[in-house]
Amino acid sequence: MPLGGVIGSDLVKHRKDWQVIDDPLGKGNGRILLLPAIKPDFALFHAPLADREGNVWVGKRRELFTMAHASAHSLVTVERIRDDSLLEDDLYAAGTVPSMYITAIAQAKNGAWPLGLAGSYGRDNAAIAEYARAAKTQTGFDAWMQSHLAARIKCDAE
Amino acid sequence: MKVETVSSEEFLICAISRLLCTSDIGHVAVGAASPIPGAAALLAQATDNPQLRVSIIHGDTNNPFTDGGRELFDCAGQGRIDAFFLGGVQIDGAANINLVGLGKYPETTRRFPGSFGSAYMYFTVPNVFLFAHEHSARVLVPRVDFISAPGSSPDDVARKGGPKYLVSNLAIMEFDRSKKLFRLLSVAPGHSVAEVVEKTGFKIEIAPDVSTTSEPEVEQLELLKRKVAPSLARTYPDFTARVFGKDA
Repeated sequence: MPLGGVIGSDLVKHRKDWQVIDDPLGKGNGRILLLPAIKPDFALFHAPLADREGNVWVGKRRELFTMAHASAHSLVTVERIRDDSLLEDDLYAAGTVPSMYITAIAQAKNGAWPLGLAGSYGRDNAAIAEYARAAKTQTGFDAWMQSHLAARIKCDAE
Repeated sequence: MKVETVSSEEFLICAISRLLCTSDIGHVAVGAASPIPGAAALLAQATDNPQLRVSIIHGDTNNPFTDGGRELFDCAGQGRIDAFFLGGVQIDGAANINLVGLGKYPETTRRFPGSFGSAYMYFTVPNVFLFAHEHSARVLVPRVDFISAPGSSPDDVARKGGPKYLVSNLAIMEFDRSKKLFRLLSVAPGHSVAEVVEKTGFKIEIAPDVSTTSEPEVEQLELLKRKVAPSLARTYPDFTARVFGKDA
């Protein structure tokens, strides 16, 4: 797709997949940047709510729609799964990514931790600072993952 | 009436707010990690400008966007945003900004968060305020190591936007787009033009009427604490608690 601006940034120099061409429609002053579409194999994200049909409510976080639309598969964790269909409820439907774009969902309470989830909970600054210190080395990162994530996966599985 | 003790954050907020009030701006947008510009925009709105629209791209308060990350950019492209703020790990005399890192990319010696949408916003928003937390020759350099967004463009590249002011803890400079250089407008109280020139790593022009940046007025500070801080706290709780105290 074409994008205004950007030309003259070193980003253009280092992105071999971007191209600068003469604007064929003559709407700009001359040159315009072209960007290829991104087609990810997977989109991974966390959302507040899903239903049993696999529809996922993201509210106004509409960049998640874009990610799900672009990706071949979307794997989503959610705070809560409700029994009634989100698509039959107008208040939710407009903010719901339909299940045709969703490969799988899993419930993970507090799943954005240590980051926050808008409208649900804030970020855990102390935990983020601890992670930042730990992640300076591979050993520290591994230990952090082991103590926080491995324990949690085990707990959720049980 | 002047105030005795003012934090550096309050000083910058009030200075930027005055620039916003005196510019012809209807809609100012503020990026995610920008509490000082955010506070300045809200203060400008509270001061004498209730029609000023302030959009903070972070959290739910003062954030009008409902159509995902692209909406800010589409808004800017359509000319709906008059002012925006950009920082820089380095800023040079041609108003090129570097948000990527130090050293020759990709072998950077220090890596920073990245360019994000800067190279688009800089071209589309008419009044971009550059903001430097530290006024020094290591930030304000002769030539940035990586151009995240260029300060000016050749004639065959469409461009409606660009740099308007550079605000730092020491000085306020205006960018002259025809001469492609910064002009020093005012210097923070207690500092001199010579000091600013020495701590600026590029050549600047000195405005004939260069002045001392005004200290915050009592009324400004009162508005800031009473009206702006509670609103700002909902977007930037840590910053607000640090600068205005826990009660804000």
